[in-house]
Amino acid sequence: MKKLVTVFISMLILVGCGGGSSNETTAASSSGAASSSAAVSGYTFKAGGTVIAMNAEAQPLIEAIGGDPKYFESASCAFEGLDKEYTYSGFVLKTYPVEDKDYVNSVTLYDDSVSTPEGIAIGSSLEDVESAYGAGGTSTVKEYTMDKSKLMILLEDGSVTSIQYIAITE
Amino acid sequence: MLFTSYSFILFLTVMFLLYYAVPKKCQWMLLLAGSYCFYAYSGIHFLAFILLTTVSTWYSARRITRIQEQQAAYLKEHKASMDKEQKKRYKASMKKKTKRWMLTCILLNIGLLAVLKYTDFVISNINGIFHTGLTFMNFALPLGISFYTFQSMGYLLDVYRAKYPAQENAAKFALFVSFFPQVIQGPISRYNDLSGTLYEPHSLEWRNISYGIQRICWGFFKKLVIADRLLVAVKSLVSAPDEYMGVYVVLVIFFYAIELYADFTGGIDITIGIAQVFGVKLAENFERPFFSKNITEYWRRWHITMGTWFKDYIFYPISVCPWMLRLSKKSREVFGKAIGKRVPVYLATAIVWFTTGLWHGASWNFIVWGMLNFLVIVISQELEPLYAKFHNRFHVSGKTWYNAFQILRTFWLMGAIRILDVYRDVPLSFRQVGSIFTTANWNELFNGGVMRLGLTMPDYLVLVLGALVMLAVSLAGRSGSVRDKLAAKPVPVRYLVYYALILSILVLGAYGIGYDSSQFIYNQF
Amino acid sequence: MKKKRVIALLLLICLLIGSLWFLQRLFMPKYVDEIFEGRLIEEYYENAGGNDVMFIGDCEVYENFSPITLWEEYGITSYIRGSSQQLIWQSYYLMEETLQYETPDVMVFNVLSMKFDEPQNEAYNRMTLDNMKWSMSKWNSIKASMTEAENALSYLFPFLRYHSRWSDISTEDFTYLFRQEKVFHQGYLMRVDVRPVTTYPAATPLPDYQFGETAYEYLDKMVALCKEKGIPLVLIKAPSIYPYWYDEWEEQIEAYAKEHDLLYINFLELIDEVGIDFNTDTYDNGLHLNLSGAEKLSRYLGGILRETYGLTDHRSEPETAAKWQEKVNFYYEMKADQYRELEEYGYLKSYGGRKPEE
Repeated sequence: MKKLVTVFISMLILVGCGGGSSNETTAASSSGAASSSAAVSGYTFKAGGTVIAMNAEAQPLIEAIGGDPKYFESASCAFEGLDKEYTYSGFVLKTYPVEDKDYVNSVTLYDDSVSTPEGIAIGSSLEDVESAYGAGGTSTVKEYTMDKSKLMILLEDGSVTSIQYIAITE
Repeated sequence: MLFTSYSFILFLTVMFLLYYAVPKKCQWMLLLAGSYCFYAYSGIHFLAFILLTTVSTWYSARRITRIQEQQAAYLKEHKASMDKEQKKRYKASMKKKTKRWMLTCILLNIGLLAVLKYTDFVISNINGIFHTGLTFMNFALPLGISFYTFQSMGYLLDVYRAKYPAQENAAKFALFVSFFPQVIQGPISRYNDLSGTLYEPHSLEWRNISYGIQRICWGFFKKLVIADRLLVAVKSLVSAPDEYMGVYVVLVIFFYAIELYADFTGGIDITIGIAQVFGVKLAENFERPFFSKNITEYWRRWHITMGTWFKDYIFYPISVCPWMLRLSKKSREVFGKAIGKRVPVYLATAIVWFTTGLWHGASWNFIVWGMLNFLVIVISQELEPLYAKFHNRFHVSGKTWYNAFQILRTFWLMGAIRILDVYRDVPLSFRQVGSIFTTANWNELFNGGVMRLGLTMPDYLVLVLGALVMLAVSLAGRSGSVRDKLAAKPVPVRYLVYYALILSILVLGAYGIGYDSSQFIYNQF
Repeated sequence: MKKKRVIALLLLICLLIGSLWFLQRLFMPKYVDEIFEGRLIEEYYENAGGNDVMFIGDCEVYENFSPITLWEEYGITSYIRGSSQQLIWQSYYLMEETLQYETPDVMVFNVLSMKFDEPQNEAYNRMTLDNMKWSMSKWNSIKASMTEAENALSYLFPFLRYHSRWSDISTEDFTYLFRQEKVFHQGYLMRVDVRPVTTYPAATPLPDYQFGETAYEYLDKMVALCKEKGIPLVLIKAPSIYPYWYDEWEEQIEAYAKEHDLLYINFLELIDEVGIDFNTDTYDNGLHLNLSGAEKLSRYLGGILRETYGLTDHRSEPETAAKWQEKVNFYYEMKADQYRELEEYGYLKSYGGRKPEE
């Protein structure tokens, strides 16, 4: 009995040494686990009635938002591919191309005529931001990540100066 | 270190050069040093685990042998003075001692493997059933733990059964456990087989080097040109199961079968080839498995050393252990002879397949996979009389077209079961296979669906040609060693083949930026 | 028997090495049909020497300055060593390498690349690094530029990176296996088409405007290197409306230039003075100048450089003049050809122009 106990204890101790990052042990977890979710995920911005999610296909969203945005395009250095910018009232939508379609790269709110679905706008206080999205970051830069999207909020003297939704692409 | 990485190739080159430069009697020591360097590369803290297994097994085996020798000497000395009863009691008490050592060592090592590998699986099941929120331990698995643990336990059991005496030299034994070509994915060697060539001195022999390198190249070809290329398509198909149903699942079965075959046998070819360059002989692990005509034959040809390990160290001991015999007797009394004689075999088989599944991975996918294999085996056993009647009536056995039918049947059956390897969970796997019969989208094969999986037309061409080459080599291998046949050809022909092989690996291999780097599927074992 | 075997083996190895060398040349992209920017770096070597002004930087130099104008207006000899998204360490090592070939009178560096503190993109790395001649500078540049996915071995043997092109080989790969065609004008990429500025980009606020440590490290190295060789370093910011040049960045460069006693010219502030008209002088909505804009900018900068550094007017030297006359001829030939294409197709078909939308 004693031997068994020593064996178990030595095992547990060693197992303690083995702590570390988890590894994908099987092909099932490494190739099957990546599920394609058609559902919208991550932080989203609502422009009127249109929900803009990061990495979403841009064309239908732009058509849905309508209006008359200011348009700016920039060709990438050397390669084919056009980054596009649509400036609406209150926010700027930027896209990136993949093959022949454009996808949402970022949404930047630049004045307080628009706000996030959680109620944060330019001028909101630090406390409001933290109660909406959580603590973390510093008192001037807050970054929140969800799925493939990042919400970056910049503050100066305790009030919000910029709100940016950024797509995580890779 | 991945086999197909620049650092490994460098490591191999250095090892090969040093091996034939050092004094012959130090060669095995060089292999030991190299194996430990190789192992440390995966994480220096992991050395503790393989060392624990090595030391505990070496020591326990030595003690067991000591007791057995003691027993033999004692019995010889007191042959005259002991009666039968006394001898029996003495043997029993000695057996008890050796058994204690054996069980302790097994408990320690299998226990360690179990805790490291299956804790999170157990936790996830507990969370699922009892709705608790236990946190996962996320233990990192030491490289090849499933392989070297089983190989060491096999050795221990052999010594316990007095098949051969324990290895006295701890360093030599350490080499047996950690021998780097096989530590990642086998073959699971038997000590009495491997120790023959592992420790003996080897002089520079052209044939070993040439054949070894040829085999290594062949393995690289299968792995880089075929397996890694196909993996791109398999990954696309499997990562969007809702999109790819019906005929696409058939593609998954087919592609994955070829991919796993190329990957696994390619890795083993590299392993055996490396050992051959060192003059060490490793057991074969595959024997043209896709030519099997039924499941039983398949498991004699696929991952051979795993099959024989489970047979020798799990199936037989369970079949003949006392409680099994009692159970068998009881069931004969209760259920009659027919069922009674099946109980031990089927129960032992079920246990074997359950543990085989579990050994492959800590998930229900693998357990179900194991049990499905068991089911098919049992069903084909039970259908034997029916088959016999059929063959009596129709005389098709042996005919070419019937052989082809059997081969295809086995290929697709094993492929369908194997699909549990790739899909996320069991229900999904069943649903996907079911969709083959319910979703009618065979036209997808012809309307460009396959061109959206990440492979281009030239890629498919390479795959088809590569598969044909594999097939040709397999067919040629039925009647003798392919390398022997090649060696018999004139020098220009031979060297043209080598040239083509090496060039095709370098040009067509799916390596470098632009291809997803992929590991041997068995690498986390 | 053994001797035969050894010979056969040696032959095999030689054959393999030879084949791989040939295939490497075959597989490396020639950048002929598109993305000519890939050839910028290699064209320098045949034009090395005798350049009084060296421009170093990214597309904001090789698209915005015309060495031919500098020659025609002032007799200044110059070369632009730039490539796409050329990062600051790549610029530094190119600067270092250039000094192995010649010692210019002035170095001009465009500061946009200060915004990149980390390796960015493998494709751009390749365009900048692959065709550098082998030297310690190249090796150091490779090490500083590699992204996580990259491997130094694949730079030593580009075959390992480009073998995947086996299925994309075109006739160009064979035609240009051993020869190249001249495309640039002392490192300048000519575009005559016009796409005027219609809107200006939004200025997205950044969480941190401070340029990175690595960026400053290499800027310091450039300053030190130029000081060591006694070459004045001029910092410039090209008049591109995008990527957005923040005030906070401007402040940092101004402060740096002041601290190190360097001439710094921000052309964004001099657009009117230079005479740039964003209706006619840009070919991509204001990101880069076209030929007309580049000539204006070169005329302006050339005047400053000549005055400040007393650069020699080489037009009176027969040998130099003859050499440059060839370059001038080639320049006007291409200009004429580009205008011809504009007339025929409405866009620069074989010069990388974008097809106009329907």
